[in-house]
Amino acid sequence: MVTASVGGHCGFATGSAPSGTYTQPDFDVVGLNHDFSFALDCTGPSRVAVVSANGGLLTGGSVPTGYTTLAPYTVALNVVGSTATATGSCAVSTLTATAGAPCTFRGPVSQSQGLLLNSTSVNQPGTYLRVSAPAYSGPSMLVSGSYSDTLTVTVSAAS
Amino acid sequence: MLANGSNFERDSTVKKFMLMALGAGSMIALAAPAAAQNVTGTVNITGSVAGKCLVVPGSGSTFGTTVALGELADATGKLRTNIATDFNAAAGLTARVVCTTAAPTISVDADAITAATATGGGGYDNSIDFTASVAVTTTAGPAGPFTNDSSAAAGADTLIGGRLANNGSDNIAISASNFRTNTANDLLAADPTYTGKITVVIKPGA
Repeated sequence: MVTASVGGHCGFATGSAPSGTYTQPDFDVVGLNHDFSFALDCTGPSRVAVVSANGGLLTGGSVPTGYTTLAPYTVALNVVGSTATATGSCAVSTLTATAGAPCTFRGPVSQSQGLLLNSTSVNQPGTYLRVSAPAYSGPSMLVSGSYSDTLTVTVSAAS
Repeated sequence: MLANGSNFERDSTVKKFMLMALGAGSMIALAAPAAAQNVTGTVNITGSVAGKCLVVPGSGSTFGTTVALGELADATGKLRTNIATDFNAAAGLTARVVCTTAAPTISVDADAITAATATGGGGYDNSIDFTASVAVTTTAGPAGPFTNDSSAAAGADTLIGGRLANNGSDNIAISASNFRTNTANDLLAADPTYTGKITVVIKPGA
């Protein structure tokens, strides 16, 4: 007699992985506000995690005291399942691979790391990654230039 | 036939063994947690900060004050000799300005203190010239002073020489000196309103 089990699957729904570029000129004045929509294809509980390449919007060069090349913003996750929704929000500085006090959903994702969605989620609408910031008001002056950051989003089945 | 039968039994045994091995392999494959495989998406955020200068705290575009010098003439009718002292003791002649750029510029334009209606000539003067001076503090230390005399054309945009200091203290300080009439013996023409101006423009630069 042969017995076997079939594991569930978990990933991004076909064609619905987080992707794209959000560009905001003069973000120091007008702030940031954008949602990257995506959808999961997970037949069981899942986790979603995020890693920031720069820990903020970064421009090149070095600057003296009183000026900065790194602009903060907030990253929020809203993951919708069939019977539950998971949400979380963190400063992007806590999403770097080397952050000392990392965000609870700082990646890379694993079966025990990341925002837990305790529900199946198969092409559920309403899931998004949000980046936001008010007009910059930090004590250090942002220097003029082009700024960028990359967020890597990973999903895994939860244990 | 017997030999063939034995061979058949051996073949059958081998096939069963292979089938079991295949079955066991299938069980392992099916039991593997395919769901544990991570998948990745990537998004990019880009933005820009324009070159600009701001008056802080806040994000204002102007700073300034009015210095009321009171009576400009002494008892003899000539220009008081302590005008500069009074002017430079006034409040509000400092400001904090920061620019997002590395090479901001400054221009200074002093306009003579001139009577509203009184006329001069023949030993009388209706205007007082002076030299305006602006000291700037950059992140590397003092810069300037940048000056302009009211008798000269407005100063041109001049590189300050570094980023403006952003340490919580004022980094622009305006002063004035060499207040004078056309000749030292001129009497000031009577007028209730003498007005002058110092205009300081700080730009982001290239």
